[in-house]
Amino acid sequence: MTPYFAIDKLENVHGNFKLGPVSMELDKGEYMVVLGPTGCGKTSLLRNIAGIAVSKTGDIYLDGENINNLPPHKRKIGYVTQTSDLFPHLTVKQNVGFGLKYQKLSYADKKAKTGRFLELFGLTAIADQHASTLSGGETKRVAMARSLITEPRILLLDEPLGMLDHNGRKKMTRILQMIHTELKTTTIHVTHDRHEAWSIARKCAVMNDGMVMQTGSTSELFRMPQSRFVAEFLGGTNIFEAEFKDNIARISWLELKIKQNNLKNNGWILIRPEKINIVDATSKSKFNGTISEIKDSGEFIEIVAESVKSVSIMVHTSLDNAIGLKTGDKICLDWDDESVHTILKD
Amino acid sequence: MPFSRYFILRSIPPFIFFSHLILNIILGMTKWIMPFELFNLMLIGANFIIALMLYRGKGNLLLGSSIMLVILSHAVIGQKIAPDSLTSGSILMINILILYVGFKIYEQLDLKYFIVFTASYFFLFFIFIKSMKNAEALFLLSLMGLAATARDFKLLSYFWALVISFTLCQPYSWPALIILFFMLKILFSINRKSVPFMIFVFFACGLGLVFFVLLPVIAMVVENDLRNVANILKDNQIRDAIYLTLVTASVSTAVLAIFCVPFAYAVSRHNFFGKTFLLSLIDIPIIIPQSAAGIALLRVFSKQQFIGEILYNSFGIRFDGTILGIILAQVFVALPFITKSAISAFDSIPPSLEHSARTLGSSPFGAFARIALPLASRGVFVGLILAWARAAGEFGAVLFISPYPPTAPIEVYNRFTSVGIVETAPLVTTLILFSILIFFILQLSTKMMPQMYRRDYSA
Repeated sequence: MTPYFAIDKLENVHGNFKLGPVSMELDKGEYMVVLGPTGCGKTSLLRNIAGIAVSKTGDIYLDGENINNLPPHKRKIGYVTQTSDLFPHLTVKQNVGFGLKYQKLSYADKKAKTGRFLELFGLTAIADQHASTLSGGETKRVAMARSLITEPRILLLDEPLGMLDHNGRKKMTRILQMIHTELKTTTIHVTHDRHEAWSIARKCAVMNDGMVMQTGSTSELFRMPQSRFVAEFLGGTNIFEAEFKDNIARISWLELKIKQNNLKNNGWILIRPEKINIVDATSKSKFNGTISEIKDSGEFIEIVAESVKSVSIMVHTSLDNAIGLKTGDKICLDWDDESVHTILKD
Repeated sequence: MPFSRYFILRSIPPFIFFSHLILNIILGMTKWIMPFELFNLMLIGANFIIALMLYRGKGNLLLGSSIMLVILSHAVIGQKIAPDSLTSGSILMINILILYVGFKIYEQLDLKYFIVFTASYFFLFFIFIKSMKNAEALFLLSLMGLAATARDFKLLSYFWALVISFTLCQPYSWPALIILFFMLKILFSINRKSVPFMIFVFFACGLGLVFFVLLPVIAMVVENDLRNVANILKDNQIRDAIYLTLVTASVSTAVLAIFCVPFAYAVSRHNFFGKTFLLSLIDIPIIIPQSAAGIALLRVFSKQQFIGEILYNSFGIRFDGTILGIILAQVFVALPFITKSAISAFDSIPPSLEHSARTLGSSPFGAFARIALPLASRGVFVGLILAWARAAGEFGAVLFISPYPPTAPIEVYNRFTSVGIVETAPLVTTLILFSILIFFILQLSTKMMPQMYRRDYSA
């Protein structure tokens, strides 16, 4: 069965920047977050899907139809840009109802539908204000309502939580979840913030330099990154270069047993900081060093330890375990072989 | 200590007195002045008394010596300028008063006040010597005014506005005074505490130039009374000319709007080969002289030329000497104005707005008509106004390609060459008033257009 939405080897060159080849699949009603650093081609990808930028190679399939050669107004795709781009000469109501002008509905139906969407997004009170007078959160909500009222086949969101304060983000997150659960719109949400991705989506793709590095569920990406970039971008620390031989990984100061067998290439190993335990000096340990930094981040204590060979390692531990520790103390660390994740070089 | 500083200073008044005495005798011998006239003897006596007082240590040495010098200079040259001793005497008294005021300003205020005061005095003197013969009373009156206003720069500027408009700007004194007062009001409305002095000076420079540009216009309007204007409007020939101008300018503007606004949108939204070159080509009608433009148009479109001949023979379209020719010339000269302002108006609107409209279902034309055009309407409309004004006022090009039927500018020229400047003045006044009226109405309607879109990232 073909998926609802698919991108097949999409490529586009814009100046010095090259997008793709990108391939991606999405089922109906799914909510996917595309993560990537600034300038990695997220917005460019959305522009290609929306048809504002036209790619010469590759195909985009939506609902069994190749839409890559359709002009934007025939694609029926909702696109909320980063700057929202409300029409400043129209009121909120006119902005929201803009897309209905092109649909075959009676005047009463259009009015009713506009009213419903204004209410759904909490905009009824400001319906007659001019779009240029709105606050950041209101602007985003109007842009969202304006796109969704046309019942797009797929909704593209470019940094919908960007430039919002804490409360605005909370409100907007709730709206995004509502879109997902109530309207069941297939959505691609683009952001550079991994916490945003965790809080909303289950499916996620990481992009870098115009390429999709890895696709999967959020926990999969977080725990089992397939490349060093993904590991680091998702906040991974304790990444050490390693030589693999049979089921032994050799890092600069010790050899570790790993689960996988017969790994040929060299690569890296990744140890999550919360999996590392502080142990007594008497027992057998995998790392000996001194504490170079202790930071209290509320829920846990973050300790950075440095060995004699100036290898540094980060540990997250509970408050109880960290009592009495201070910078300069000797520390011994240990971890299970099970919790080591391996990353292969390409 | 016979040569101490005090001794030297104290010897100045007697020195001035004796020089006065000697000069009186010498100049008397050369018949420059009458040495034994009562007025001259009185001046010598006055200087003697002051010198005696100062020598005995009474009074301010600086002030006293200055007064003595003033008396001396009046004794030597004053009578040559003023016709009689009475006038000469009053000028002397006023000058001593001015000296006293200057002395007090120097003592109590800044040095710059003193410098401005002195410069003002000499400038007034210069104006009256040069341009106002036999107007001593006016000179004395303005000196009193100077003395009264010198302590405040703002007051002094109003005083100078008054003097300049009633001396240098004769016979347009009243209009000049009104504009100058208005400009000073603008200038002094600047908060000098928050605005740097440099900006203040720059602003003043610009206002000065605007004054000279506005002066002839206002003078022309003020000098004729409205009855003449009413009479002019009864003249059928002139009414026809004005009517023709309004119609041709409006048609030209409409033609320009239909062709140039979409063109400007296309140029603004897309890059293509030779864009910069094309944009500079558009400016050519501004650069070349109007008369040259007229001849160039004639060279292509007149009945005797190739293209003109084809058009005339196959379609019956004739440009030279017809209303069509007027419109052609007007379109030619007004083209850059509308095109350039429309391009910059469209440039100021981010294309992403149209992209958003496209994803919401607008066709390319829909995005243009519903988003870009309304948002750019103000800039486009300003361009249309400029183009209209340019078309209505065009003289050079129209004169060559189609001098008859005459438009309003050509009618002015015809009258000027046939009957002269005095008879043409009421017509000119009428045209100026008419143009101002129309321009005012158009400007007012621009204010009703939507604001030019400013992208605001702070929200």
